[in-house]
Amino acid sequence: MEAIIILFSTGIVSLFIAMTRKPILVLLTALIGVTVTAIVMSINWYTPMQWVKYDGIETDYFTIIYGATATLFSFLFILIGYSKFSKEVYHTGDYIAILIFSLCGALCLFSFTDLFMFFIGLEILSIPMYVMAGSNKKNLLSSEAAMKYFFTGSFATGVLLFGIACVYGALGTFQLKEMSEAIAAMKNSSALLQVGMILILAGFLFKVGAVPFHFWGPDVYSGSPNVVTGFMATVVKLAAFCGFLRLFQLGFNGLDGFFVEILIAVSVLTMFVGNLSALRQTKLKRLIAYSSITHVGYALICLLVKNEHTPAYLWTYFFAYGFSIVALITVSMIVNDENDDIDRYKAFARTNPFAGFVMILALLSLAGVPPLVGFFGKYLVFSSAIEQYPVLIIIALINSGIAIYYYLKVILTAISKDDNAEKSTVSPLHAIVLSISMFGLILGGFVTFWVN
Amino acid sequence: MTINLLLLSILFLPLIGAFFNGIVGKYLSKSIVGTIATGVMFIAFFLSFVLFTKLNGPEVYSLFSVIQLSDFSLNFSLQADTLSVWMTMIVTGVGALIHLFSMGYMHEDKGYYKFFTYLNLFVFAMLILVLGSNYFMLFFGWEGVGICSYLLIGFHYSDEQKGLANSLAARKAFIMNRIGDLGLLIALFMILAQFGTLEYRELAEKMSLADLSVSTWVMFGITLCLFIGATGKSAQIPLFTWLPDAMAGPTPVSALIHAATMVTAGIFLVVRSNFFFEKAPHTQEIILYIGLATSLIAAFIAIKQNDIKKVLAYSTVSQLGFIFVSLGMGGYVAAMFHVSTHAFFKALLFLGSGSVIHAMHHEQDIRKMGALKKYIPITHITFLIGTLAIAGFPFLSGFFSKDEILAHALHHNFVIYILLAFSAMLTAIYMFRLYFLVFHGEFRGSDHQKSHLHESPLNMTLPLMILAVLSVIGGVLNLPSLFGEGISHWFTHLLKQTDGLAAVADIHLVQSKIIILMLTASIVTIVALIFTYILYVKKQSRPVEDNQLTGWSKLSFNKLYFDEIYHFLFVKPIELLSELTHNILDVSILNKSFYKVAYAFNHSGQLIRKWQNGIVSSYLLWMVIGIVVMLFYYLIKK
Repeated sequence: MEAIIILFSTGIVSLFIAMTRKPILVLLTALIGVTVTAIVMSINWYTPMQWVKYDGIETDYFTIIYGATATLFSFLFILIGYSKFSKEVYHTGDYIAILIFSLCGALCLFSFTDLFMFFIGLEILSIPMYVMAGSNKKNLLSSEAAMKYFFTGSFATGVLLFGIACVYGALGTFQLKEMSEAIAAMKNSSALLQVGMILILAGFLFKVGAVPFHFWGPDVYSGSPNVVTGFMATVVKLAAFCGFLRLFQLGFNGLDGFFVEILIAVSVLTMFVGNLSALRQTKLKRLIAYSSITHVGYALICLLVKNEHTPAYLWTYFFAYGFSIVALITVSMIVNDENDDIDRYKAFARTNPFAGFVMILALLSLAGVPPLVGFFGKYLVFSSAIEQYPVLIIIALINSGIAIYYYLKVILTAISKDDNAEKSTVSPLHAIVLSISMFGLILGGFVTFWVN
Repeated sequence: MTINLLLLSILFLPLIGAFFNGIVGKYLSKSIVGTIATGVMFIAFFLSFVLFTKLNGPEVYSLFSVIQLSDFSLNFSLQADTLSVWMTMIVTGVGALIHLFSMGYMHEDKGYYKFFTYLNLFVFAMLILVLGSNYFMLFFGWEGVGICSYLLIGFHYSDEQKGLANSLAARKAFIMNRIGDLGLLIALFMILAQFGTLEYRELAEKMSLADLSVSTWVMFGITLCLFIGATGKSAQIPLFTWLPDAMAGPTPVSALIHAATMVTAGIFLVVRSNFFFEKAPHTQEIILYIGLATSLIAAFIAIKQNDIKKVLAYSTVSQLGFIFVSLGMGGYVAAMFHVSTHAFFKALLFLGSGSVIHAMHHEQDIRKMGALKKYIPITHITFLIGTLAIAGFPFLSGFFSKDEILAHALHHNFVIYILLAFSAMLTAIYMFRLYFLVFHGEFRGSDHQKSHLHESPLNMTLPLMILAVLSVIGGVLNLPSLFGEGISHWFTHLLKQTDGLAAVADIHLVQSKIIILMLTASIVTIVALIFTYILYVKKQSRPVEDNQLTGWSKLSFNKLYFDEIYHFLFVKPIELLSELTHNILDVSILNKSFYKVAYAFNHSGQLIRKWQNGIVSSYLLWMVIGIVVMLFYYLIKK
């Protein structure tokens, strides 16, 4: 709770600092605030802080690990986006504050204990994103993305809310603990509860972008400004996954296996649709969108195997995935092309060796090539489910094979020869972020072992 | 210095030399590179000699464990006993002289530093092979010398005229050796499965137990596979055809690797494994006959070869066959004795031929030589000594070592003795033919070659002289008992200290038989000498052009068509098979189906992409459909 309050105050303060018209001050405020938040959260690891008491929030180890990861990625995205944000002096504070508010929502989703806080967190996470998607006001696609995201998002919110209402109707409580107790006490299964759970699941599948609730993804990802795309693909997805995992594990504890068939079907569909659509894409962000759909398909496998390791595996997966996205978004900021064509990256690795190297690492990590961190994420998820669902894992492996094609296509474009290619300038902030993500990509595998 | 430290320094000095020259040799002058490479060899030889004097019974020194499992471990460990240290002295001693020779011979070569890097690396691998205390180390060195041999045969791969031929020769040697290596590897696995260890000493102990519970067939399998490995490295039938081709390498390489050391690895293997072979009489029979056949066939082929190095190559094959005959009869000491003397005089002959080739500006055809004794006197004298030694001229080293093998044969079987003696006579004939054609008669080369004839520099002639001395006196190592108890059989007593060899029974011939043997051998050699002298010096008989050969000489010149037969029997069918699998399996089935699968994915990607039509209402519709399907599913499930 303390962390959320500090973070929220940081957002407010940066809005006021923005009135000085000095973007660098806003950036510093935001970075300091985010860092302090991370420190405060880490202290919780050793001695739980009880300064502010609120029943809707409960901090455990996974809250801290997920929270620290989300904070780290937000920190990096603020750094990456600064070059863009600072161009509009009047709005720098707005952008940064909105991202921080969204992160607040994410922190709520890592620690809620009742459905009320869950819903609030989800909305605090989402609404800033509707705004940020359209933040490039001069671009028609950006506005279109914001509108589409808002329409489909509000529809999904409605469905989710209706589901929560049904569950409340069946169980008579919002508290996760009491919910699972009520489920355990039930003799016959209740139709109202099941309908509610399915509607909540639909809301979840929408938030993470699984088939057939994925349609907003590619349009929104490709229309939004690059940083927002990255933020949505990492922090928002991580938060949504964690929030629903928490809900299903703590709230619907007694109903193991209820979702299994649906999750398997959705996972298979998601992998195939994401991969096959990605094969023919010509724009980098659209490719990232489809690849992120595919990765959701893999990550859903995690939810099938419910044991004490599930949160750790899921975290590993998104930790690994996040570094790749950070690197790719940084590279796309360096190239800074409106059309975002993959052809624009021709000879990029030759003109900018370091950035190109990190980009190749990022793509290889997405493809799951050892010893990069992406391999460990995939390995843990797949190996955890291989005994229970061998066929599903074989399908997932086939899909990993298909995916290599479009990742390699980008790599080949980046290392191909082109005499006309110009060297792009890499700003110091971008260079720092690239170095951090390079370390993450190469050494992240060991960190995941330590955490596990 | 302790024995352990000596072992380590001997083993790693050549490796250090190889690393040094390999990394910085490019930037140093040729004399520094050569001095370092040769220097480490001389130091290594000196240390081996010290080690030899200090040796006091077999000692095993384990450095570290490569693989450690519950029921067995593979150790990187060294063994110092009379056999391994004797071999080490030959490898480092002859190796040092050949390094010295190479400094002059390779002086104009661009890859000078590379050559010495490979050469030092080879010595390191060869030392691992002989000094290792188990079959794992032996295999490690075995493969190491194989790869160095490959690199050095194809050393002039970028030569404009012969580059391709050199590379092909290197490849052939490598592939032929691989076949043998497979046999060795299978033998190793069988030993491991049967005895659970690869250490020589433990195996020797287990084999010496009275209640040995190993079936004859297992012993037969192990020894046969070991022998297959030996046929590859030591160029025996059927895997001998690579050795003559290996003469494509520079001449010092032929001397060191393809005459004195590496090709004796197979013999070393059999001597090392004597405790196995003694329990497998069938394999011993096989070794005996294969060795005999190899010895005769190679000697027959050597008679009509016109390339100076090819003659020596077939002579090497023939001599190795000779040694294997000895092994087949249980004459391990006699075999090692001949290996040692052979290392002296064959290295001498190869280096001598190198000196000749050097003088003749890289001409190797003996039809273009002649009368060279006037121009290169030191080479001439030393080459003559080498020739006499290998031909078994009385009281030179080859005479005694060959005699010992012949004595074994006489003891074993009279027919084998006759055949071996015939092979020895052939040896004398082709060697004297070579000698007379090269050094006597009139000069048959071009005027340009004649004007440039010159004796080699001292760093090339010095090794020749040292080796010549050794070739003369090498026989004293193991004199027959005829010369008195005190000085005779020194080498036999030495080697008897090696595991297993003490148990092998000696043969004892009566004095008169020994005298008859020596007389016969001397007469055979002298008859061959007179015969060739009349033929090539008095009658001035000269080898004819390639296409005018008839009858047996054509057969000999064309190497009994071994290469052609192998090509027809093995290469052709495999080529046909791979052609077939390429056309049917690869192109028609695999390739096509892969393209089809790729097309299917790509095409479905194109189709599925259209699902994303950009219209929000259709997105919402699909979401509703999704929810309805999920709800409906649970309705049915109930």
